[in-house]
Amino acid sequence: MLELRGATYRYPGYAREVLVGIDLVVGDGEIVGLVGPNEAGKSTLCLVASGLAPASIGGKLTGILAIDGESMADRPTHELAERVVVCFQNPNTQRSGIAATVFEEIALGPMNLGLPVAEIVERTREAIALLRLDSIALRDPSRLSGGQAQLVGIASLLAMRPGHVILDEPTAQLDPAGTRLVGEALRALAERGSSLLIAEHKTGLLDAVCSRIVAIDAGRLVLDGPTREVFADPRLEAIGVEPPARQRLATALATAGLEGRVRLADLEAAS
Amino acid sequence: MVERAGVIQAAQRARGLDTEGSVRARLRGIMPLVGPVILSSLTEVEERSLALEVRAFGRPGRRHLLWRIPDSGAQLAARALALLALLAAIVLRATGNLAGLP
Amino acid sequence: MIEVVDLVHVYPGGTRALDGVSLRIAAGERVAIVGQNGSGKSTLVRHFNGLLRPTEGRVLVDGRDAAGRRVAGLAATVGLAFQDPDRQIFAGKVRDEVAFGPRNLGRRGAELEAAVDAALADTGLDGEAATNPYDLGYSRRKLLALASILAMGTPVVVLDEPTTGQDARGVARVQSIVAGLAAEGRTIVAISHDMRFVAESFDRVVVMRAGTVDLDGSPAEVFARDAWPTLAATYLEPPLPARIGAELGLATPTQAALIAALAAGSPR
Repeated sequence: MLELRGATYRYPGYAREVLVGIDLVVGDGEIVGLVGPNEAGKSTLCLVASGLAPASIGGKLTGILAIDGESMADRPTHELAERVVVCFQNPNTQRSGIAATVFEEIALGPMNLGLPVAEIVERTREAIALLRLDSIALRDPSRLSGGQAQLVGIASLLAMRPGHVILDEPTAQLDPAGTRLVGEALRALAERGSSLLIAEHKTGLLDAVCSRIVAIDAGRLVLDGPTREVFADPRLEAIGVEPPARQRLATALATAGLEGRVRLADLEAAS
Repeated sequence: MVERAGVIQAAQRARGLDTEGSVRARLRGIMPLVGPVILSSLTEVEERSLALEVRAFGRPGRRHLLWRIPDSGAQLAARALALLALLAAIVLRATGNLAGLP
Repeated sequence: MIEVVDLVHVYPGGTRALDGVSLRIAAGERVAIVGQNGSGKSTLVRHFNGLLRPTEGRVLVDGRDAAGRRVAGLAATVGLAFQDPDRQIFAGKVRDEVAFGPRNLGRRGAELEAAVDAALADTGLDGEAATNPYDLGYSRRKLLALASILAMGTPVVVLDEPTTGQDARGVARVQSIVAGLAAEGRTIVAISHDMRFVAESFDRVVVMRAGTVDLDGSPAEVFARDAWPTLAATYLEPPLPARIGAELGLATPTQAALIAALAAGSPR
């Protein structure tokens, strides 16, 4: 379980707070989607929830980050990394730059955890299978397309079998097929009991994998509830977040007085 | 870095930067490349260091990729036998019973 | 406007990124290029302004062969915005960044100022002219990169993934920019994974797979049911209104088209 209580944060050298009084709980096995307009503080929330802000990048955090009930204040980053991992949106910067093959790149995290070799290999193979990276396992990680590199980055984190995972727009660089693979991998992780927080613009992906959605605007949490409820909430569009296609269509049909004409769920299932 | 400079140069050429003309034009063409090359390298360093920390890079302690291969029963027996044979040879040699050999 | 004939491109490492593409884009068309990562989309558009040269085949820009013409010259006809804005932003001020392209094309004085002001207004950056680009968030840096191409006023505008990282308002802004360019009669080519954007803002969709063109038609044709197997081979999914429409026997690639068709009392 990952918990933020009254989290207020500002970056080093800035007077303004980027997050204000965030209360958020992500339970074990739960996938929570994080939405909000650009520059609302989604990326900052990802950094704070992973402990990297302030542990690694400085700044001032008031309030509490707790993992499995323990406060993470003043923990060194490598200790945090054993509890919570975070995936960023730029695939180029997630590469270690020290591995010669994709396999070694993915094995790096488990290796750093000091696991026995057999375990490292098993976890690496599993992550490769989960994201269907078999065909590029022996390729040079610096010579991948943006989409492939992003999948390798996500596999590298999965191999650490993290209890808590935070993803900041993990599919921004991915085509629809890659996006679907990531969705499947995240669900597999949650089924094993990990708690996941995903910041995404692609609300369609969140609609498919999340049980709960939280929305932030200007650094404050404005909505928190079951996926369907939040996506149907008119306040979501008011802050500049686009609901998933299914929801938009349902709303448009209702507005046009046509909701009786089509059975959306049946048609969607049929197609 | 060379690759990055290549992409950045392509982006600037697409905006009409002349890198194929006279020497003067080419020299003038270097300036708009320097900023993005250095800035993007610096921001990448910061992000990359975060990405490494996430993967427990700063964890103290030794790490290696050596496999410990357990000996099978036969291998253990062979190892013990070899040791015994060596000891036997030394004893025989010392007691003069191998004196006939070179 | 732009024509490629039997275009093949092989990268130095031996990767055959384009494997015989022929395509003719007329002036004023709005063309979306879609396909999986690595299908050759970016490689194709980089031939339009000479950044890449054909291994085999020909590229014609404005009816003339691009071979032997300098990129700096072709850039007056074809403006290309890259996917990653940080690979092109270099100036200390937003305004200078946007002025770079048109200045290279020889614009000066009031003409230059007017082009820059218009591009900043279109991208909603008019209040940020004196800001350092790196003080803007990623999504606005992306709009800045777009503004710096718009300001060049080229007859052809090529955009590589313009909606990546944009929220709903950002996507709406990009859509209105595309509509504005079309209204001026300029030609727009965009690479995108965003099928809703593709269906709503373009009149032609080119589907690429493994360096070849698999489908080429209007959104209604490309997202029609008989094209689904071909789309599936490229791991693309038609937008929801197209799928729902197909179930009802309608060719409605966009939500607006679906609602209109239903309101008009089409079958069922």
